Amino acid sequence: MKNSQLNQCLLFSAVAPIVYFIADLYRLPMFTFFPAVNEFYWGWAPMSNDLGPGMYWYGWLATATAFSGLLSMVITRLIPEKSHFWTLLLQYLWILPIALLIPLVVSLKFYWR
Amino acid sequence: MFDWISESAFWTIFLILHGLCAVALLGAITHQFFAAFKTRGSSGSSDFIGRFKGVSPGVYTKAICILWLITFILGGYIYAQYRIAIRIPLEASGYWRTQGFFELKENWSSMGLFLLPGYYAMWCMQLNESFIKARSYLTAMLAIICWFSFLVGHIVNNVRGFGS
Repeated sequence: MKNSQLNQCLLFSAVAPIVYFIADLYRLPMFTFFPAVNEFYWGWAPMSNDLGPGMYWYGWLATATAFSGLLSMVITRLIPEKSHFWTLLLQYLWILPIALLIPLVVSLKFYWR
Repeated sequence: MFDWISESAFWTIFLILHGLCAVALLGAITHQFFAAFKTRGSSGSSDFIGRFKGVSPGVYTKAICILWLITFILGGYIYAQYRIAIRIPLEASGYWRTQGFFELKENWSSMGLFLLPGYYAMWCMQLNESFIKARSYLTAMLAIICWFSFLVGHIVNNVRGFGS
């Protein structure tokens, strides 16, 4: 793999979990799936008596993958390979799952009763 | 499809496949985790722990990425059935915390999936000492996410799994 491709992978990994969390928090799935009737709807769709419960997780994954894929492709071309940005990313990427765990737990407060 | 096999057996087979892939993933990532943190000189030890840590950690990277992806796809496939057949009764029975931990597993393992390209890139690069440490920490994070997801999945299965 070329250096630019490796950097793109690193950037995707840094951006996608954050985009995923934002998509979850602000109801931004690319689509909603209703498993009881096997139907898809673009964007966020509320559950109803006819459709049954909706699933947003697939939509959040799609949002995060598409948005972060595009963003990392563009930004990798804008930032030079020798930039300090890439060393920072290498050094601190591992912090991301811990940093996002706390707001994730808080966002699920409905269940901690 | 359901003329040949009952619906319950169909989903059970996929749940077992999901579980088996998760076990293989756990084994690979735990091996890599211990090997990545081994201290100098410990790899020569011939006891169980020494041999466990004595493997070359880099060789697991591709297998871990593939196993994570397969486990994730299988989990994602059975998730639709879980949403209808498991989650609704769980909530009706008041298992809020169990459901909460499952939500956490769902989100955290997704983040683990997104970290895989960066993790793969780090294991492909020639790194100096300080970045090797960062790579080991990232491997540790993925191992923690993997163990957490496995245990939560196991508990949810105990609450309402096979035959329910």
